[in-house]
Amino acid sequence: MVLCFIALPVFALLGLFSVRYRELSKEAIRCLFRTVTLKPCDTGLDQRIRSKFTAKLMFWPSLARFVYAQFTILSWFFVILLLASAFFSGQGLYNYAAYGNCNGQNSNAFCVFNVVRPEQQECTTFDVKHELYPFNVKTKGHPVRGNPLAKLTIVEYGCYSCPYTKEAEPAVRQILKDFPEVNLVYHDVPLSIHSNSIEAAHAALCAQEQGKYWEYHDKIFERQDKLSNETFIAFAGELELNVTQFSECYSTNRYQNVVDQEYNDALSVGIYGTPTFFINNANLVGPQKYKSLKAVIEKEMPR
Amino acid sequence: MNPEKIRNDFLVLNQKKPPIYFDNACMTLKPRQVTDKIMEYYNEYPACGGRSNHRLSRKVTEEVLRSRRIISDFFNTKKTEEIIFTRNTTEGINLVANSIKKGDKVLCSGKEHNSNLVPWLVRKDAVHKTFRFNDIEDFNAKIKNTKLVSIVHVSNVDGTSNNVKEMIKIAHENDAIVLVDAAQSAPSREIDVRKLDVDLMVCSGHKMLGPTGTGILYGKMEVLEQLSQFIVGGDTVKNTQYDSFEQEGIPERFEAGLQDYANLIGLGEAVRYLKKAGRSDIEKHETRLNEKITEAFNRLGIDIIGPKEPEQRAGIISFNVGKMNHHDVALMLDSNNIMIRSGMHCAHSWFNANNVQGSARASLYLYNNEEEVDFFLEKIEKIVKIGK
Ligand SMILES: Cc1ncc(COP(=O)(O)O)c(C=O)c1O
Repeated sequence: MVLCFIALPVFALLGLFSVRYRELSKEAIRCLFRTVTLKPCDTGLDQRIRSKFTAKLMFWPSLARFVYAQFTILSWFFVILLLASAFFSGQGLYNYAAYGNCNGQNSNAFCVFNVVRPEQQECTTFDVKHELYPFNVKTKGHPVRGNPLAKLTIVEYGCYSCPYTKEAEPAVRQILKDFPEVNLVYHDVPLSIHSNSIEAAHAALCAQEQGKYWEYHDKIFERQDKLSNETFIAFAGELELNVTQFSECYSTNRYQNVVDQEYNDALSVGIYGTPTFFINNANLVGPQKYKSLKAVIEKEMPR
Repeated sequence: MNPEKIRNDFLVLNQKKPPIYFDNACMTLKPRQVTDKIMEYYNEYPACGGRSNHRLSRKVTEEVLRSRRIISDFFNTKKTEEIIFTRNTTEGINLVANSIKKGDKVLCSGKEHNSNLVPWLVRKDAVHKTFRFNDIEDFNAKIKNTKLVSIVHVSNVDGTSNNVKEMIKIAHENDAIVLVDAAQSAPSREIDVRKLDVDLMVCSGHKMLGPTGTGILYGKMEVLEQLSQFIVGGDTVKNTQYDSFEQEGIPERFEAGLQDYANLIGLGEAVRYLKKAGRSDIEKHETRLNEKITEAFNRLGIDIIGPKEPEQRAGIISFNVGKMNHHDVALMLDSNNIMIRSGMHCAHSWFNANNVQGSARASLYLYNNEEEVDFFLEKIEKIVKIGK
């Protein structure tokens, strides 16, 4: 029976955790073998699956009747679906191995494999992964979040329109709350591959001009999915900034030189993805969990 | 008999989502009284019976004897020693079959459990014949020169009965002895071995509320005396020399080695429980539930194997839902917490001879109730729709 094509991988996977499924996978193997040699399955596995499945649908008798009667055809359908998805997964895996992205070269689309190793995600900037140069990190003259006299500083390189930078935000804020001895310096690394990222950098600097850098910073992440020229102005209004002054600053790219400087600084530190965190000489790339940030902070905290 | 009160004695039936257990022809549930009695042995006198001279051993011997007495009384045997403990019906039949000699003719019905077929077939020099189930005429025609008639009382296939009383009479007129397989009848029919005048009778404890691995062989003393010893060794002999032995009396000569004391004692308790509940009441109760099922099955157009009248089938209803495979029916019911059996019920020969692929079989017992039957019928109705 063709359904064994599906039953086998499912049972094999479950068999990693439970002996019962190991026995079932053995049955499925036998069944599969008989199926490919065009003999009927003789362990009763197919019958059990069919009946148990039908019984689950008993509440809707006509659906149950259909499934029961057309089980072989439905099985074929699911097997083809399984094979197709196996093919595409294989292709994705190959792309991931070859290009680091399961959707193939030059694609920015979401890749499921990344989810498997969340700590490894980042928004790619300039380069392939390589060493970072923490000694080039600068903090002077940047807005500081948290205790200005803190003993330890987290330096974050982020991008306003990078989803992974946004993902890291809650953990970072929680750290600042839990560790009064720690503060944060945020460097913006606008990535031209993300839309509105350079614009956001300008907007944040215009807000800084009016003393509301961090409020604006939070706003951008909060509404990351709706960034545009209009919303940048609207944010200013919502934060009760002088909108005229803000608009003028924003539309004339008043801080172009700062934006350029930030970009060059990021290059000199060797940033290849956002977010990147430096805590003394330790660095972490990708959206960090609270746990991992905390571990580094505890290690680096001066005693 | 009050089934609701009885249900309280069965721990499985007092779970949060109790099973609807309709597989009683295979194995019945066990009441607390039985399991308590078994634990009593393990906790209070877990010693060997018969052999040793100490208090615990004497207690075991006493309890086993008590159990034997209860069973003897239950079947109204002449002597307590006429009850022999076995592991199951199958062992009892094999014990008898062991005495079959070359050329002996054994007559069985055409609807026997494999346990009452294979023991005769393996004895290639014996003559095995069959008559049509419950057909006195056919029986009469084939009884001549028969040494042993070995017949099922109530069939596990469809719940129908052989007219054993009549057959025993005819057999005796023809100098044949009769072995009755009472595996399905002992649990819920009044059986008086003396009134029935049966020579040998076997049944299984586990089909009558008793512990697993317990069986009973009844035999008239004079018949038992003619049987050869079956499994031999410790406890089956009075004395031995290097080259000879002197066999024990009955029943010991047939009960080799240390026995399953805990379960034998538990079996006595089960039989006591059954006696208290009353077998004729149990039979009536089963029939009443079966009437309800039969009526619904007729309405739903479900094929019932055997006679249409529920009183002829008592606790058993063997059926097929249209062309749907019987295992599918059982599996779907299982998904709804209803346990029945499906297949050929160890009576392949009958199914093969009648060209039936098998059947689904629900079998009832004293703790089953109307509510369960209603739920079962509700699900069966759905299954009928699925199979259409
Ligand atoms: C009529 C009949 N005979 C014999 C047997 C065999 O019983 P056991 O398996 O307990 O030996 C059964 C049980 O299924 C039965 O129903």
